[in-house]
Amino acid sequence: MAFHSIISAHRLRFKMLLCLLLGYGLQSGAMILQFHPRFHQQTVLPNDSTRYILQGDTLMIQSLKWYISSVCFLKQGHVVWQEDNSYHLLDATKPTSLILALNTPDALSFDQVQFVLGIDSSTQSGGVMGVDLDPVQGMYWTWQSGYIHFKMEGISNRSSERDHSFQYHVGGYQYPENTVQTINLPVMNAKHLQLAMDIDELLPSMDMKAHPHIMSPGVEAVRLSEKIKSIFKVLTP
Amino acid sequence: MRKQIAFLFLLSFLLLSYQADLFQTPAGFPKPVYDFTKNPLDSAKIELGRALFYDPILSHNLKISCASCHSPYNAFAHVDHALSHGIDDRIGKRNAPALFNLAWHNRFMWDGAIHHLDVQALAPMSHPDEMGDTLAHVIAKLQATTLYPSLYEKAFGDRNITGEHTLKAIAQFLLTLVSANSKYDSVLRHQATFTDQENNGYKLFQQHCSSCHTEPLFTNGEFESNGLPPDTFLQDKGRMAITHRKEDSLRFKVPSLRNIEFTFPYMHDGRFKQLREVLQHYSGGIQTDVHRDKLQRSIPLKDNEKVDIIAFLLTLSDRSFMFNPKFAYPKILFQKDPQEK
Repeated sequence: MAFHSIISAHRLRFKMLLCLLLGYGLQSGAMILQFHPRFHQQTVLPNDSTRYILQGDTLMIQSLKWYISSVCFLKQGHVVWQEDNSYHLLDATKPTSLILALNTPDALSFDQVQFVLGIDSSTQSGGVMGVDLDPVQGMYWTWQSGYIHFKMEGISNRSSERDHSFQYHVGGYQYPENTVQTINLPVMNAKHLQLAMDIDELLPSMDMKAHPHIMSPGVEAVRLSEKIKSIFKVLTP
Repeated sequence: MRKQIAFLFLLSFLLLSYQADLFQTPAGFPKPVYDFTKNPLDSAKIELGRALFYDPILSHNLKISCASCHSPYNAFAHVDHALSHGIDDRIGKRNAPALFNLAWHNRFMWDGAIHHLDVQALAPMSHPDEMGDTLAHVIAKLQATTLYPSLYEKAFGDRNITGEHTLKAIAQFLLTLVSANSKYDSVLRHQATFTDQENNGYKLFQQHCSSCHTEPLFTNGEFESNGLPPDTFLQDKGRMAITHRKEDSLRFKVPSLRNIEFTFPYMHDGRFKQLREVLQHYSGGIQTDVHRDKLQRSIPLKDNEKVDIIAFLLTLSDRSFMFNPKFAYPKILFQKDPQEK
């Protein structure tokens, strides 16, 4: 009986501490990092009807999802803040998933934002995780362990498949097939950072004749991941 | 403050002793590679994992459970089936391995495609030739039952079923499958003695086999090529399909020899029905024109030596493991409303 009351007292204290921490977090959580997947400057909203024209090719984007992890800010090359437990699944069909609210301290001064496209190897080999990392999100390979870091699917005239489909599931975290990419962008100090992800710049690198479907780690996935790294840009400020 | 520290000590002590009750490293075994701190064992989670393991709800047509190919009475292997069987009588391309002592492994499947026990169950659940379903669909089915939401609440404090909780529960049950109570183990503990034949077999085993089938797990956990002629129909390159490295061609994970009496047929494609065929391969069937590792040529063994080795291998049978009621079909599943199927 006495033992139980000790436990419940500690539970209460823990809850109070948690509330305090959360309250503090909300007050200081002032940073927004927002991603804008774009095609020729226009927002990409994956669906089965919108057609995009690129160099004589007509295509549709039906799915566009990717992982952003290890978000941090730097000042003169030194990390001044990094997000704890920093794993985000971004889905272009869900605009709220593209807005990352970061609990940075109020007076944070930085000149660079850094994040990782994909999930690093130590997280990958640490067992199953929940929420955005839950394999139920459909961003985890079942036949060979590992996260899909970037997924884009659709229909294109260029595809050599019978149904003109393309599927690019970019993943792999082990050398030499590592597709985890660190992206580093110079930014101005601001409360709302907006980054573009220009899909029209990525599409020409997708060889839809030779490889309309990439669904496993390998040379092609590595090549694509290097290209994806280059399509992130600072919009504002 | 001092009181709080004392309390924490007490709590961690209680937690540790509780854990020891659910899982113990057998004497002489190395430290498990599974990180229990990330998924601490709990009897409600193990019980949930056991129910999931035996429930065909995990398969697309509700007919195949994990236990269909991993039967407790065969040390969780699939007796008499060379290749794994899935839904709609589909046949896979490899032999379903026996399941035990999994806390000591960090690569699963014959080719090591799976890198953590937690995510292992995803593979058979999703493979079209095995259970042919998706994790998301399985979760929807579980959520719609009357049984499972309450089991998840008991185990994880949440009726909302997630992929993480499902996989962690299955992993917990698998972790409890420890087999270390064979005659061989009793001999090491000085509670039994080998016969002369078994003893001779043990010496030959240590001389010729133990560099890959290393004691006490009877596997070194590595991928090795054992000089089997490749099956021209299956065209299975083993580990190379995962790593894309030439040197991994025809390398397969070294299976444990514990309980080998019950885990026939043998080899990654189940090509041998009997242990003497396996011994025949190692003593005269090694292909010298395929990629090989430690086994560069056949091991010269006389007929009586092969018989002695087999006699030793039979001392690795652990009947108390196979008939342990903790691992058997759970009564809880009988409570399930048959309408749910």
